[in-house]
Amino acid sequence: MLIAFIAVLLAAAIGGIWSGLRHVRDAQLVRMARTTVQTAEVRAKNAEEQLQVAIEELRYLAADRIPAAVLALTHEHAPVPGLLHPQAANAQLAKAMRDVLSSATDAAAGERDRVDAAARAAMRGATSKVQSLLYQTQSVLHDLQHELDDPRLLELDFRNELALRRIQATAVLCEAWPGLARSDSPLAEVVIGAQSRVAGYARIKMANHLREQRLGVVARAAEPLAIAVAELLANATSYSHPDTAVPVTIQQSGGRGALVVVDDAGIGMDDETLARARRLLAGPDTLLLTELGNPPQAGFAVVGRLVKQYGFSVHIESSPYGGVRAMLRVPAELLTVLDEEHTLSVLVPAPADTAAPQRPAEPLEDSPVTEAVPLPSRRRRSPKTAAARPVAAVPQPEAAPAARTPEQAGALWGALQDGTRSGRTAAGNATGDEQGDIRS
Amino acid sequence: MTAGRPGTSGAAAAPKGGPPGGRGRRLIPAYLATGGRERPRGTAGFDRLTLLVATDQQPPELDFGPEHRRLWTLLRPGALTVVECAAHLGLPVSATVFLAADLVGGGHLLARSPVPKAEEIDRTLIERLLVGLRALP
Amino acid sequence: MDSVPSPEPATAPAAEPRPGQVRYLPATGQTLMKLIITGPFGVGKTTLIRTLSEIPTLHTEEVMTRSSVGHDDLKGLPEKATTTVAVDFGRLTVPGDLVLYLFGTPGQERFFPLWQDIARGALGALVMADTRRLADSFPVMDMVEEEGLPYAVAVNRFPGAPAHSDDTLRKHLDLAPQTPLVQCDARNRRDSIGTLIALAEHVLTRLPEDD
Repeated sequence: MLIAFIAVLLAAAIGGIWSGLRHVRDAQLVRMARTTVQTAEVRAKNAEEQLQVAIEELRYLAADRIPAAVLALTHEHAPVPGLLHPQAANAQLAKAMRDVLSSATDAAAGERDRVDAAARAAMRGATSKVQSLLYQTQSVLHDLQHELDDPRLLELDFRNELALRRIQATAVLCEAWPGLARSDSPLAEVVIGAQSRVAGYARIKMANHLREQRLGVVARAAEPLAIAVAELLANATSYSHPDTAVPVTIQQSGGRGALVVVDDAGIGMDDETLARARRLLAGPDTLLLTELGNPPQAGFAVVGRLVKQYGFSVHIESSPYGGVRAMLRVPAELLTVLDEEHTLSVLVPAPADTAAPQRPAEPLEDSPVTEAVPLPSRRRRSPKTAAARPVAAVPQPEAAPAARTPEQAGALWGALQDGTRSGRTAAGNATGDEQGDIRS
Repeated sequence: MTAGRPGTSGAAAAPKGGPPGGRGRRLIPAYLATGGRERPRGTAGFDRLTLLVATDQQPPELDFGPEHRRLWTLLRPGALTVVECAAHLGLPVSATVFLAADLVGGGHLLARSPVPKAEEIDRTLIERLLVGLRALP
Repeated sequence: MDSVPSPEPATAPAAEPRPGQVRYLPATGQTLMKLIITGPFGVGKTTLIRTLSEIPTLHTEEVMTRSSVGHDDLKGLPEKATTTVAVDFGRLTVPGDLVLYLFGTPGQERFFPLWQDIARGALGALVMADTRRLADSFPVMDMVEEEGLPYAVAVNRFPGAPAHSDDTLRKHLDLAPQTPLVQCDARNRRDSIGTLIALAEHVLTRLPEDD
């Protein structure tokens, strides 16, 4: 009985102890659970915050960062913003978003390159056709100039040449061949030829300091060099006051090369513009039409492309005349000396030693004996007017010039009265349809 | 336009020492001689057969281009017509007229039109011509 | 006129100038006249002018070339010469202080709209023809007649070209009775002077008797 009682007591005691122990453990568990819950709450809160950050970052990525990065492909100074919350962002999230950004810009760049290449190809086709037509026009005009004495043919030829320069520059920019092969040509003529392609050509004054007057440019580089010099001259004339001269000097340089130096008294370039111009002149590997700006500023880009292809070089710096000095160096391997018989154009500043063009007597054609064929017949005509014209209509010195408005005539005459040179200048300005290059 | 002209053969047959520019497409256009002007100086018309004579006044280098001085130099020894000057300079007549007009305006050349006027072409003149032609060696 | 032209080149003018030498005119006292020498390509205009001229025939000429642009030409091949532009002229001083300028003028139809300009101030025109291709001269004859410019026809007797009588040629050319026709060898100076005389005589007949 007692034992049973003890046993009961014992059991009760043990139960009590156990129960006490359980209470202790329960309390611990509760505390632990509470901590866990609190931690989970914190974590959940953090996660929610992270999600919020991620959503904001993604929105920002889509709305701002990707467009900015794509824009920066063409505008190197366009800022590309980083994360909105750099401290709050998860490292993995940040990396993933960087990946999205680069993937998007890669895709954009690839697509842009494809579109640009397609545009260039289309332009090549068009320029080639137009260039061909303009050359045909040039040939006809050239024929007519030697048949007829109307000065308007000269004016037309000039207009045609301006159009040719534009189309040829565009073609070069689109990676086309310059479209014209020349034979070895005197450097002085290449430069004067380039001068003739520029609207303000009358302001360009070439000084010929070549020791060897027959210094020539090898055939393959002659036309590319003419294009490049024309672009440098166009840049110089369009960024300087119409009343100022654009001096050009050609000279031989120390290392058997030659130098074409173009100065202008224009507005010059700021450092950034100069840096960009130099990059273009160095001939960057890729050059997209979309990078040329709007309106396109193509002159130096054209030169750069030719520099890359033909091996001459151009350096620009501040000119002692106030504007920009461009120095085009022609290396020895692009130069040659032309044979003695090559007659320089009278339009080239050179020693006046060239004789009149002469030609050896030509043999009469050997006409093969032909069979007597029946002769064709014709019907004679009568004069178009009832009264035949006088025996000889003699030139009428006072013949009225071509139709021109009194205003135009007055302006032209006024310009001419100021003397030849200023007249040239004024007339040259009247044709000032140059398009600006990259000066700002 | 007779036989034997280089035009019928290839570019290689083009004469050396020929006109400026040699073979190939022209490099230097004649309109450079106009200095950007549409009309020659002055209003007096020049004909192909206007006779040009140089005066003693050399055209100063400052005011005239090389082509002007070349024309004046060409004419120093004697008279030539505009069309002959044009051929010697390798320029079209129209461009040569610009140069001649500039030089006449500056007193460096004299121009004379020895071409008979319409009313002067009479039987006497043509008879003189016939007598002259028949007297040719 | 049916004699076969001598095969040698015509006697050179007495004082054929050396290349590079400029033959100047007296500054005063001369009367200058302009004649047009025309006809189809290759008919002998340059030869006739060269035969008569006291100065080397001067060309305002360049060998023109076709544009090398186009898909066939993008390989950078040198251009091919395709056409020669030339305005030939010569000068002939005639006793009596007269100087004749002979202008070789293309007889191709594409130049016709411009003929008034070309022929301005000319006494007359010598239209040249070749019996092997007589019809090539028809268009320019039509045009000269329509312009009312006095002209004579010079048939250049190329070696080997079929010979025809003046009458036959006149008939086929449908020449007016007063229009002179002369058969000549453009390399021969006497022959060539003869063509000018024929033209001058014709010009004379068209002038009023009395002024």
